[in-house]
Amino acid sequence: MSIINPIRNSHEVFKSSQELKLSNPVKVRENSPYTNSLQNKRHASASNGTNNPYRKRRGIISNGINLSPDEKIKITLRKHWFILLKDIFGLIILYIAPFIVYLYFFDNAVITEFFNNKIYARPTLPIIIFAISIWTLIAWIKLFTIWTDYYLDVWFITNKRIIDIEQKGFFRREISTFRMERIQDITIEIKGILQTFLDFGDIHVQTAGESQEFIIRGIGHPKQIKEIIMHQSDIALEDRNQIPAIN
Amino acid sequence: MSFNANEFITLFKSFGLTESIDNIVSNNANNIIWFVFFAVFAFFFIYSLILIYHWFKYGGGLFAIWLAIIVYFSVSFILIAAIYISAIII
Repeated sequence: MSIINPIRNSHEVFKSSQELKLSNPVKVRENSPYTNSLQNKRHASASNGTNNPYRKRRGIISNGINLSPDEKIKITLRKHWFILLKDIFGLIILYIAPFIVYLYFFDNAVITEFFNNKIYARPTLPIIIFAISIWTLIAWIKLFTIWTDYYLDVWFITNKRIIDIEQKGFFRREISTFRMERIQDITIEIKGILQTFLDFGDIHVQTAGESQEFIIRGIGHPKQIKEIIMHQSDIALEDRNQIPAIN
Repeated sequence: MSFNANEFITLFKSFGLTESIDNIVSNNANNIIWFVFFAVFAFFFIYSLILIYHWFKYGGGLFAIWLAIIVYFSVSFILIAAIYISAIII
């Protein structure tokens, strides 16, 4: 078992050459199910599957991505936590809005008298608990919907390509791949006070393909991520130049 | 010309639609409450299935998935229990 410093969230940085030092390195087995989760599918399909211990996990861990035999995931990136917090903040405002409306309007004597002697004019405690619990449950479900959308948006940076997985609501998923040797230029964009202090921003990657630019939005430590991508791109170009041409 | 609150309230009370709604709600309050409970539970059940499907199929990290499941269902069951108990009391 070797000490590997994987990136789980974008505020941590991993560099294959071990030049960057992390404050809290995490021990991970090289052949752990997580780091090799995407390669298990290839292993399972290559063998008859009867003795493969990861065959059971194929349907659970797989992201639907096949890696080539010599391809390894270097970094797994997700959006900065502030992006998630921003989405949750809107939900919090929506959740407390009915309480504010109730406390404001039901203080009015006219409307209170209008609802007098009606069943909904005497809010007993069970009715209050019933209504608040339903509203809270709906908000709780929506909260996890937001978190799921955040968690399933992920970028894999391998030694050969960048895989962009974007979850757009339920049952809608976009997967884009960009080869490392086609990357021509990378631009970092950090806008505003919050992004500057929290160190997150957008990474614009110029490629030579049909879609000339793709953007990684809301990533932490964009400068370090840019260096890693450039490093992998240089290695991919060197490997490509060393392959002899087939006549 | 001053605003007369009593006349304003009387005008509202004589409105037929609100009186009929009030009668329907009063006579069928129990059925309405249980209908709302089962509708909310069905909504929760379907959404939970969709969330779990996406977590297991695309989640990647098992620890994060199981942690999310534990937190999600523990709080959800507390809320559903509160809804059920309050519906019984009502």
